[in-house]
Amino acid sequence: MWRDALAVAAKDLRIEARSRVTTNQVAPYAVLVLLLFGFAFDQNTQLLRQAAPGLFWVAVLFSSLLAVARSFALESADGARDGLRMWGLDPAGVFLGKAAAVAVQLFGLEILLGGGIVFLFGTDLRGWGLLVASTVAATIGLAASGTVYGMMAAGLRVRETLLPLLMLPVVAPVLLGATEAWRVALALTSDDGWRWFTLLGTFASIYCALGVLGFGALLEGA
Amino acid sequence: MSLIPKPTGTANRTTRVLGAGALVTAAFTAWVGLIESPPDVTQGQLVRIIYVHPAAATACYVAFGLCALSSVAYLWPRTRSRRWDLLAGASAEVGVVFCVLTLVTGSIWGRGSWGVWWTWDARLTLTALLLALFLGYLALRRSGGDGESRARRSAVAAVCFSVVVPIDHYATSWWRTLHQGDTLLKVDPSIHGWQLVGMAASFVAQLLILSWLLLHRYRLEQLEDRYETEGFAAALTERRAEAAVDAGSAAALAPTPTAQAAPEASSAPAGQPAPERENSQ
Amino acid sequence: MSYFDELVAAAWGSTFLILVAYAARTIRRGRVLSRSLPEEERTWR
Repeated sequence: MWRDALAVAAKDLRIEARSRVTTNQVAPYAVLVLLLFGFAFDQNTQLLRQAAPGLFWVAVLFSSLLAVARSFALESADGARDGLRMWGLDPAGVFLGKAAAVAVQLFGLEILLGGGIVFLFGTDLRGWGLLVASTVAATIGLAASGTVYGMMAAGLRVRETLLPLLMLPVVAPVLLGATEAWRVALALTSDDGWRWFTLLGTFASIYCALGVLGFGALLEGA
Repeated sequence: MSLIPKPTGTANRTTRVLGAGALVTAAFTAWVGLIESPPDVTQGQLVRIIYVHPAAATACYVAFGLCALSSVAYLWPRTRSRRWDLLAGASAEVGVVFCVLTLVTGSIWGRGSWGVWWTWDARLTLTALLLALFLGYLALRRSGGDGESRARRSAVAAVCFSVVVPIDHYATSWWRTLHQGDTLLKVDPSIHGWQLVGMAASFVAQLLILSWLLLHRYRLEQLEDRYETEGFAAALTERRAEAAVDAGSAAALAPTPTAQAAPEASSAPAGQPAPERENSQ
Repeated sequence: MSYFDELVAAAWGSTFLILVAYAARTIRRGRVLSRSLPEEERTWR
């Protein structure tokens, strides 16, 4: 399973390195979202600083929708999805590989967006332990759940509208947990941040387990 | 004229009995809730909404739980059958109806009790999330494509989404919520008299209503499934039959030369075979 | 009627409306579809 996962992840990332869709399209989209937030809040710096963690994670969320859609668009041409099944790859491995590739791309986007909120919203990054831990857990959760629902919507004619409808309610807990953890880390509120980390970790574990167990059924159904 | 039997739809004796039972218990609950039971010491008249709201929430959980269980049954190779998929679809839709009911009655109660139509506490937020999730599930079921793969991906989605149900149920004990905790599930229920009767009756009534709706909706799902697979063929046959009837009536209305020629034509061949046969002998 | 009475009426009223409307819709759809399907296909009697 792990070998197949590595192979699939490497394939997805290599395609990304060559086509540069995430870097050339998703990243600018993410930064644009931050800019639009600035306009929406009428450049109210006090408000933006308070809201920065939430806005950061909303931008990450919207970007993850694109990243997941892209991950499955890779196989929509030339019957590549059937090819995946015929190679006899372990479905769990395919799931882990695709999710890992999405996670790697999201990590890159998060670094970029982190810079964005420091620059645009004047955020002061600190509490690095909690910050990094919660980000890792949240990203894994986003990637895992995104891959599960991306597979469900893949190949359907209505996938562009169905995927966000399925994903956004599902990842609402991630948005909540990650935003609260960041607010604690950035000392915007006093709370037990590690409680939120536990929530994020639980969510990520659940969806990794669901993906590993259920991806076989989904792959066959596509 | 085709012999179409009188349409009875999805009803039968079971649903009529169930429906009658549901109506009776609902009427009883309404009587207890709205008339007989006294206003609450703290909540006043608002307590009457409690004779609807928690039971609706429970019915919603039961429906979504059923959706999850039948989805698992569908995914499990040994028990895989179309019926589980149909049950999952039916119970999800009924569950959504009860979820809407829960949120609406809860919101009205909240307006009276807390002064706001909505608050972002764990219980309310999770219930709203549950609604969004299963609306997405229903959209997924209508997403088209091959019946089997659609059933499979819907089943996986149902299992993922129903994880929220137990979290929602335990939300009032896991988090500090504005929403109050369990009342009836406590070892020593703190309500008595007409209030207890009313609440218990409301649960029975809503679960009966749920069962009645579920039965009808499940049969409707079966009908829709058959229609999808066979209905087109049947409709085609019907069209052709209609076309034949139309052609026949068109011939009957045609001018007389055709009618006169027909008897001549039919008598001529009748005359010929007989002499031919004699010749061959 | 006091404000609270109105709220109670609204809650019970919407409950009634939602359930009756949904039940009517389901039963009507059932009748329409069962008209176009032959009698023997039904699995309930």
